[in-house]
Order: sequence, then structure tokens, then C-alpha cells
Amino acid sequence: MIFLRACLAAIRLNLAGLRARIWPAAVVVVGVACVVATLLSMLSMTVGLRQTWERAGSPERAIIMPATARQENNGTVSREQAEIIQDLPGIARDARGRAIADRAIVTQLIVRRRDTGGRGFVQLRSFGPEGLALRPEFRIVAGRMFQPGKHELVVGADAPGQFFGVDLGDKVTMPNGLWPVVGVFRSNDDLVQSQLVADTDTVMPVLRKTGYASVTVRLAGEGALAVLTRAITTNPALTLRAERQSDYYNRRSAEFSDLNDALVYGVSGLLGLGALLAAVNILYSAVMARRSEIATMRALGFGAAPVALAVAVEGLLLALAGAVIGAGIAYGLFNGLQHVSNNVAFHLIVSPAMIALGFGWALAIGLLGGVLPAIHAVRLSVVDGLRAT
Amino acid sequence: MKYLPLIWAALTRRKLRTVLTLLSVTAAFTLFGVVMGTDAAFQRMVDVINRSVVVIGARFGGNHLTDAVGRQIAAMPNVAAVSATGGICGYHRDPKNRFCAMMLENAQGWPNAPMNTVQWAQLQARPDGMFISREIAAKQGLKKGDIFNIVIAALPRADGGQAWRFEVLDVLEDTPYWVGGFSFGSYHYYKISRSIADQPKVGWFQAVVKDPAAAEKTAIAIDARFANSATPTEAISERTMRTDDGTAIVNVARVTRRVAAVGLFMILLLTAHGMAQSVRERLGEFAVLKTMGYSDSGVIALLFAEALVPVIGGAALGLGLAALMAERIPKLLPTLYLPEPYLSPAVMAQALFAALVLAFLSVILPALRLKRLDVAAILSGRT
Repeated sequence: MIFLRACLAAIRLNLAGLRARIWPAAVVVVGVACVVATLLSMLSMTVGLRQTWERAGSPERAIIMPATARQENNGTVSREQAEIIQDLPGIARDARGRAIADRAIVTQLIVRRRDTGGRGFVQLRSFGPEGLALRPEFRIVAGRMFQPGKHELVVGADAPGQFFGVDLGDKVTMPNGLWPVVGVFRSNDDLVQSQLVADTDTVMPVLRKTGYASVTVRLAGEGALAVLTRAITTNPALTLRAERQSDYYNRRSAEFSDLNDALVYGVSGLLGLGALLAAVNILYSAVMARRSEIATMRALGFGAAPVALAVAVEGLLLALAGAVIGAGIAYGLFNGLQHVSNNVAFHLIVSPAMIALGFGWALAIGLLGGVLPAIHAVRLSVVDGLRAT
Repeated sequence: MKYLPLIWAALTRRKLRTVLTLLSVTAAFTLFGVVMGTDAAFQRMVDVINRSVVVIGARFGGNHLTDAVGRQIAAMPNVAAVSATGGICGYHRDPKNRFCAMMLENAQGWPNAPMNTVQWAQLQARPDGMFISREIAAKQGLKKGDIFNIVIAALPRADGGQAWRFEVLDVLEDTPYWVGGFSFGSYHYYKISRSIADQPKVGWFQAVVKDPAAAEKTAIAIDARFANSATPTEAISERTMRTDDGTAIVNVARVTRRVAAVGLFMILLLTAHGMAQSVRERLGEFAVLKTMGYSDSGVIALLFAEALVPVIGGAALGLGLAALMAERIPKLLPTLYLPEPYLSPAVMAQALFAALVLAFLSVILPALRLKRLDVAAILSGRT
């Protein structure tokens, strides 16, 4: 109990003296704030981008592509194969007993980008008759849905902000002429929301495609994917592979997320190291500047532990203050901001989990930065300290 | 010269502080070196692009350009040469082990392929020959004379199979232009291996123009010519294409450059604070120096030199570390074909400049304080 009170008293004394050391303290706070702000702002970008990809996938759906394909358009699913898929087990069926399996064409159209005026690519994807049954997240928010058989398109809500000439009422150049955009859709803020969508059977001959990029199906329930996979692998006519759609998009986003993560943590780590060394340096100076104060406390009867603890706590508190400022800056500047990467619009996210991570880094810097100076403070000779002016 | 012992004494007085300052400056400049080096490497990639190259692809996916399109482009004004090109992508040995190659028709249309006349002749003489770069050879475990297969599902062969047989004609040195390595086969092989119906289908064309300044105009003329044909084209100068595609990805370099600036700012803060602290502690010493006849500027120069040693030392160490890490960085992140950071003379100069500014800014405030120093008051202990 006495020890605890001694600790509290030492900490209070330390913090009371903080006003005199306001500039060194501010340096630690700003240093930590810089680290936390950069970490969170870079993470907000990578996390936001990854979520936009991952939201496109659902564990209740499976995507069927050629066995060797790693993504859509690495080879095609032929019409014959698509017909066979209709009858495979493991696929959910609608009220009329038809398999909820949707054949898609995927291609890129060349458009002008709004940000640079340079060449950009907008993805054109197609839905078949089961497209809407398959995707409950898809809804038209302006205009109307395209009519199958008519040369028309609908556009994702995030595309017109990125590209010229794809907004509602615009006409998009297709191989056989101009197709009007008749509707705008939202799709759970995923990457499809940056794409154009048309009717599969209408767009296929126009683009002279002889096969589909993929067939996406709704799974019948638990274990349906295994059933479907077995049916596909045991059928010699199908050189295909079914993959859970959420796994597909997670895998695809990992291709660039891994890189981004390495970059974010590498850069922030180096910055953090710099801040850590700065904190050590400054807390050291603080201890040196307060030699006589610390010696006086020791002479008054404060033990070594409370004095050391007080120094360490100071480091922690300064780091915490830095974390609050850094996280505040990152949140205020970046959360919810829209960015575009590789023709996909996404929103930057500063989530509570990320803020917690930022605080974790700050605390680690504060703790590691405070330990050495704290030990040093205890080791100082009381007599010399009292003599020092 | 007579200042040197003084500087040394000042630096060794608080060894720990000097070392910590040195280390944090090192961390900042490692970051600086990697970030600016990556930036310089990207810039070099753009700089080495031949300004006279125009790339012509199909405007719409699913449409194929044909041999006839190439012949018409070759006859257009300002076009010096055209080469048909096919891209093949499949796997080698393991379905997870991707292997892509470009199949080239002629040297005139492909000045950016690093092969000499003899090697081009070899490539055209052996239909299934392939030149690969050292990096690809290491990645795929291939050496000169090896015979191997690439299994390609997306490109039907006339024989109905999926395996494309190749022989490594030679392993060539990597160049900065081909980040991630290169593998070149013969377009003739690409053509004759497919069915008669598919043979006229070309992946894309690469044209070389006579006047590079008119490359963009020529691209527009090509598109205009084929706009109403069965196969509309999309022609673009290679330089514009690379810049456009580069900026389509969230500009990593731009973001990290900002981060490097934040890092330097942070280190500046630290060094400035360290200097101020050091001056405060040694006011008496400086007062003695001034009493002995050192001029204001002499004392300030001393201070500047004192700041310069850990800053320049840290900058040198940091850049050295960055140079050591450079080789590993592309291997750490194999998916994005990141170029190896290139510590160009310009980057070095920028680092030196940043270090000087850092040292200068960190001594301004202490220097002003020294200038206004009340020598008598300090020496008599009345601070």
C-alpha cells in the first residue's frame, strides 16, 4: 500500500514537472503521432481496398472456371460445359426448379479517366437470367435494369465518378455501335459497383465470345461445394474447378494486399524505430535534466521502483497522447475518403481495430523508450545528483 | 583543423545521445533511400522506354486483330516497322507455377527486346526456341539447352493439345526495362501451332515510327483507320501507356514519398531537440570559448559541425542499408514486379541535401541562443 502511494506520488511529482519540460515532451508526442498517423493512413488504404474486393465474394456462392484458370478470362467455359453445370448437384434451385447458375462474360472497355484524362479500363460484366436471383445485394438506384435482348447497359454507382461517358444517359461505344446506360446500381460497395453490367446472351455475340469467363452458382447449403466439386471432377467432360466465391475474391485481393501490407509495415516499422530512438533519447535527456530532482526524491525516502516507474509512466503517457493525436489525424483526414486503384473505387477505412493497433504501437514505443532511462534514473548516485545544479 | 578535437569532445561527451541520434537518422535515411530509390527505379523504367514505339491492340476483348491489319499499318505514313506479337501464359511443371512469354515476329518492330542480330536469327531459325533472362531462368530452374513444356489452356493448338514445347536457346542478362525478367519466343511458332482458322489472329502489334514526336498522332491515325472495320484498334504510344497504367494503381511511390517526408520531419524534430539540449547543458563551455576570443560565427560553425557528424554519418549508413536491402525488395514482393530501388546519383544528392538541411535547421535555434549569450552572466553562474 505504501509502495503504491509512493508510486502515485512519484508519478504525480513527475507529471507536475512536465510543464517545465514541455518542449521535449512535445517532441515525443509529435514523433509518436507521426508514426501512428502514417501507419493508420497507409493501412486505411490497403484495408479499404481489400474490403472492396472481399465484399464481392459470398460464402454461399461458388465460381466455376477452367481448372487451370486463376482468374476470370484465363480460358473459357464452353456453352456445352455451362449446360452440364445446370444439372449438377449442390446448386440451389429457384421456385421453378431451375439451377441458380449464372454465366458471365467479362471484358474491359477503354474509357477516359476523370483524374488524369488518360486511358482507363472499365470492366464490363454480364448477368444471365439468374443474375439477380444470385445477387441479392444488387439493386437499381436510378433509372431501370437493362432489358435482355436490347443493346443497353447499367452502371455501378462508383464508375461515373472515375470515368467519362459511363453515367446514366451516356452512350458507351461497343463493337456494334453505341449502347445507352439505362440504370445505376449499387452492390454492397464492392468492386462490381465500379463496373458496367449487360445481358450475357445479348453481349456475347457482339463481343464475339465463344465461351463464358465463369459460371457463378448459389450453393444448395452446407457441404454443397464438396458435392459440386466431386460432380465436376468425376465428369470427364468438365475440365473445370469450383471455388467458393469468397475464397476466390480473398485470394485475388491477397495478390496485391500482401504487397501493400509489407510496404505499410516496412515503412511504418522504420518510422517507428526512428520514433523509438527519439523517445529514448528525449526521456534520457529528461532524466539527466532532473538529476537533482530525482536525487532529492530518493533522499526524501522514495524507493528506486517508484522513481523508475514514474519515468516509465511518463514515457507511456506521452506516447498515448501521441497516439490520440495521430489516430485523430488519420481518422479525420482519411476515414470514408474515396480513392481509386486499378479502376476500382474504394473507401478508406480507419476502423476501431486499426486504431487499437496504432495505440499498441504507440504503447510499445512508450514502454521500450521509457525502460532504459528509467533504469538510468535509478542508477544515478544520490550524492552526485544533489550536488548537480 | 583545430576545431576537430573540440567537435570530437562534444560528440563523445554524451556518447549514448550521439549514438541514438545517429541511429534514428540512419532509420530515417534507410526509409528515404528505399522510397526515393524505388521512385527513381520507376522513373528509369519510363526513361528507358523507346519513344518511337506504338502498341496496337484490339479495341474490344474477344475481337482479334489479323495479319491483314498489320500489313495495312506497315503501309501507313510515319510507320517504319511492324511486328506481330503473341502473349502466351500457362504453367510450367506445376499448375501453380505460372510461365508467361512473348512471341515476337521481327527485330525491326521490337527494338526493346534485348537480343542482337545473331540471336534474332537463331530465334527465327528455331521455331520452338526461346530466350529467357537470368531472373526467369533462376525462377523456373532452366538453363541453356533445356527443353521444357508450357501448358496453356487458353490458346488452342491445332493438334488439340495444351502443351507447348520450347528449348532455351540462351539465358540473357536482365535489363531495367524488363522488370521481373523476360522470355521471348518466335511468333512464327505461335502462328503455325494453331489451327488454320486461328493462324491469322494476332495478339497485338508493335510498330516503330520514324518520327517519335508524332508517335501519338500516328496512334490516332491508326485508330481512325480501323474505327469502322471489323476489328477496331486501340493504338497508344508505349510511353503514354506505361504512364497511364502506372497511375491507375494507387500511386504507391507518391504515398510513400509523403511518408518519407513525415519521417524526415520527425527526425528533424529529434535532432533539433538534441542540439538544443546539448547547447543548454554546455552554455558555460561556449561562454569560455567566446571569452577566449572565438567569434560568434566560429562557435556556430562548431555547433553546425557537431550536428553534421551524426546526420551525415546516419545518412551514409541509412543509404548503405537501403543499398543492401535493394536487392531483396523485389524478391520480398514478387507479385507486383517492383523494380529494385535504384540509388541513382540524383537520389544520393537529394539525400545529402536533406542531411545538410536537417543539420542546418537543427542548429538554427541553438545558434541564435549562442549569439545572444550573456557571457559575463554565464561565467559568474547567474544563468
